Amino acid sequence: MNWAPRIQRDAGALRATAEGLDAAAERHHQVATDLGRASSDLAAAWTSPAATRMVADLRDVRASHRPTAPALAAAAGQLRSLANQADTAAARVGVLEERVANAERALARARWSGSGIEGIVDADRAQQALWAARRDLSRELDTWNATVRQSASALGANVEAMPRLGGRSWSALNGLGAAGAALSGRSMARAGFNARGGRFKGRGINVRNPALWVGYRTASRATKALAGSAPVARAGLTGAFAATARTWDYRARGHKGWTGRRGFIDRPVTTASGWIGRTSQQVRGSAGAMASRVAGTVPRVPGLAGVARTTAGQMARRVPVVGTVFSGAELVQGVRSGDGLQIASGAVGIAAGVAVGAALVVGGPVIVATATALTVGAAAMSVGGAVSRWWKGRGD
Amino acid sequence: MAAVDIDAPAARRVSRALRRAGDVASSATPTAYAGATIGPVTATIEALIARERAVATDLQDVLGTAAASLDERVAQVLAVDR
Repeated sequence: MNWAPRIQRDAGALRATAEGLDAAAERHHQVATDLGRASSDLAAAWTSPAATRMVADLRDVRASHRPTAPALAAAAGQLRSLANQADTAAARVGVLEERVANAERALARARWSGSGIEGIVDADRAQQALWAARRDLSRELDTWNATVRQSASALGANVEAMPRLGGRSWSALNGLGAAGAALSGRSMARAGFNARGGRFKGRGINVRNPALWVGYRTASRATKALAGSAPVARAGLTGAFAATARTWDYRARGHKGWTGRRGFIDRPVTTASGWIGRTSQQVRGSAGAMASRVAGTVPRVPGLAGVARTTAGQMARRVPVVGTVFSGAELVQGVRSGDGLQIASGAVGIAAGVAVGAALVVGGPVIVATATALTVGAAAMSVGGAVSRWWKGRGD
Repeated sequence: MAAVDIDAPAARRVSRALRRAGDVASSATPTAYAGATIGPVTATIEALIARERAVATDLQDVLGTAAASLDERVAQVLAVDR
């Protein structure tokens, strides 16, 4: 197999990809510039608290997006550097592959044409030369593979440098939702609605339908709940969308006061709903990937870790119970025999068992220290009592 | 007439600029060419491109939402003034 042409083709592929990444970097750079200009223009064109919030949100989005273009450009630069290394590797591998081919031909000639001891020696030399050429080629390919792996690792840093706009865009979306809610609230007030949306007066105000107002408020709350639970937020948004759909139905049934435009609620809600769905998928994907990584670090014995945890937990729970039972038995035996030391040992042992139980359940340094002291004391007294009984009974 | 706190033509220009920025971000996808000897690098580039796509999609969503809110506000002002 000739590797040199393949490596040379890969150099071309790397350069083509670098060009694509450069174009993407340029695009994102342009977006960052446009966003900066748009937020300044917005601040100049609109003066209100809602506008201030929206401008701040846009600037947040821009700040979050900022690492994108440099990361892509850096990756493109790394790919070009790797392409140059590929050129060099292809040339070196090509020379070594030629050497291997020559050595193979020399060996064949030596085997066919050689005769006698001299022929055997020539064939042996040719064989040695072939092995050396193959070894050098193998080393060169290993070097190229190591270079590729090293480049992949360095490129990984660029992947990590890319922003995860999910969280930031969520923040922006939340802010924009709040800005929108402030807008619609003011419009409601202008239109003469009370808090329940019970009445309206005047005409020409866009947002003046109670169902629409409720739908927007629900959407705003649902987006706020996203930080805690994407599915809940998604359900909330779905509910908000349903409320909006009811509004369209309300309008379709001929409500004369409705002059709203369809795009106001359904577009942001469907956008947010789709975004939350994708984020939810990404979160699930990340959780799965993390679980796989964790699983990869656990010894591949089915259930071993679980069994070990369960056994340790059961033992920890049973130690104080067993200790207390034994100490109780010792106490009873001490009372029967009238042995004061054994009575004291049993009593302290029971106290130790209770203290260890408390330490396991409640924890805390004082309780743990007390439990340890009582356990050691009970054990010492028990041993002392046993020795004392043995000493006393020695002469019997 | 209600107090007007927004310059409608300027706000519309901003709205268009926001939408355009979202469209530019999501316009073209770089391609990772799978090479015979550069498997690990190809995988990393694919991860990079996937992340770039996610960023572009998020941007388009957020900027589209902002543009829609702005358009709505302009429509409200025009309706009130009329």
